[in-house]
Amino acid sequence: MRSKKYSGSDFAILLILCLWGFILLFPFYNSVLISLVPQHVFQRSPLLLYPKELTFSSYSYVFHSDLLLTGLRNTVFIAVVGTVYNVLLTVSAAYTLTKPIPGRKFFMAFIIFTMFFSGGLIPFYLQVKNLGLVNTVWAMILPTGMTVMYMLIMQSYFRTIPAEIEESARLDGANEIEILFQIILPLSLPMLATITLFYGVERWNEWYNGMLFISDVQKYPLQLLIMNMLQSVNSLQAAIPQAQQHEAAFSLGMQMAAVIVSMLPIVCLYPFLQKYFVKGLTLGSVKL
Amino acid sequence: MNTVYTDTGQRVKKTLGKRIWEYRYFYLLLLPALIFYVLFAYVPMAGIQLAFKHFSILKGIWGSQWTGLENFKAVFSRADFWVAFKNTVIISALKLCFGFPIPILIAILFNELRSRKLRRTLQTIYTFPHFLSWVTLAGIIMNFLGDQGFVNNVLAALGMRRSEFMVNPQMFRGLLVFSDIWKESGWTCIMYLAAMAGIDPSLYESATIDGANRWNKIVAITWPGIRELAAILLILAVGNAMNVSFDQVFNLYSPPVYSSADIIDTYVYRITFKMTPDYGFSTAVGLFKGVINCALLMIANGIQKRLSDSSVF
Repeated sequence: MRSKKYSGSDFAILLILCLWGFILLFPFYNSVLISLVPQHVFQRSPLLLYPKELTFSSYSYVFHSDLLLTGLRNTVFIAVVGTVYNVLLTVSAAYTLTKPIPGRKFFMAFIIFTMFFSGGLIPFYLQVKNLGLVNTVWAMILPTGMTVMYMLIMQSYFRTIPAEIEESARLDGANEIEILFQIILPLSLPMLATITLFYGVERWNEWYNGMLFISDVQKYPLQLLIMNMLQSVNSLQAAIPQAQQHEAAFSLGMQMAAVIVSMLPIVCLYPFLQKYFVKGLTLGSVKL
Repeated sequence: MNTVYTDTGQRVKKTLGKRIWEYRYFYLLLLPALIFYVLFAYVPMAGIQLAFKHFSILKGIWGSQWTGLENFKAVFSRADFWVAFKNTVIISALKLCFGFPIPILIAILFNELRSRKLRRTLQTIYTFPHFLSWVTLAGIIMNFLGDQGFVNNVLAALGMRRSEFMVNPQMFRGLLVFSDIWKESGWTCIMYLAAMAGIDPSLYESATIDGANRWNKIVAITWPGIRELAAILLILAVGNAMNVSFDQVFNLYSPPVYSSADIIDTYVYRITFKMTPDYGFSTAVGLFKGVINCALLMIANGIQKRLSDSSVF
């Protein structure tokens, strides 16, 4: 049945799907091209379809900009520390709330209520300010604690682990914290990997809290620097060392190079990690 | 665990205190999450009182003067607030109309693909934009659609007039809807594909034997298999109608398109951080949105519960 010949409608479907894929990819391809050609090539042939002349000078500007490198360092720090913080909060809350502890229902409601209602921007802003986090890297880490949906996904995974495994550890004298970290988590590695990746991507893309709370450009995450670069050419000039500015800087090329650099880790890793992301999503939709 | 047996075999109910002590390590594990929610969710909720106060920096949130509904009166008398409110509703309605069916269509077509290799490649292409930030995507979009961007260069080469996609208020909502589909439809599509994978293949086989064509099978087998998921996703989307992505609008818009693109979230941000802030006023706008949002979510969740009777909430 499956081996029957391809029909006209097969080709039509194939065509539509490939066309959509092309629409998705082409703007990215265009940006990559612009980041890779010198300015005079772009100006002579604005309908560039392939690089007539390759240059890495735009990338070299990006990697010689102290500001962008600092931003990259800040982003890596936020992504690593933030993800560990998110995963620890999520896992420990999820594990505890699968147990029949007194007050469990209250705690669940306490957490889930925050999905429905929040204080809004101003009270949140004032609270972070009151805590003295303004203009510190912690303002971009601590206020983003955990995502309730990921906690629920983690809970449903924990429930699939047989209770006997825990019981025998408990008889051996392990306490609950040891059981969680030494027994339950090693058994939950696939799910743990999934939520770690989700959090990792979100923290890598951090810019919003930075915009609200950070005034010192040296503390900006990469995404925020790029946002500023895209919005004004002035901050682009500021990001490039004075000494290099006399060489004709191709500002559009540099903007695109910076954008590409910011998405590179995700684009490079995504195809290999895709199955974990998809698993997280399908488990999430089962939870719906 | 609530009852223990004494030496003589009597059943004794454990006291609450004993049970709490027994679970002490669990409470320790839960504590960080609770502290997080108190600090960054519940204390800010208490700060909502600012909506009914005139904020004074010296006196702080709690010490500021109560002013009743004055802030709300000020909010409702502002034309730019109503513009933002109207835009929020229109943009989310548009996103719902177009953004909801397209992933279903793509998933149905995708399900008809036979080559596994092609499926994998296309799936990767369709889903990766979901993981990029709107900062990055706005950079890509502005480059592509900008004044000197590829699309305008094509138009110019064809002898047509360049079009200001990014700064034209008439086109901007369309741009928001399309770029949202561009980023998210592939990812949503995966959920439908997962539901389709759960359909019994023998249904398709027996339909083929009965002489059903592709269209018949889509209508009679594929669609019923994903209908429930579609209903749930539709309801959730309606529930989130007030949350028209701040990130997206903020990174793409500019003053010329405020009239059609400014949403409540961007409005609150601008009046607070780009103008002389009036915290009471801004909090009132935020609360107005928060209450509508909460009501929509609760209604959506209630309906969803009835549909699937396995709701998480």
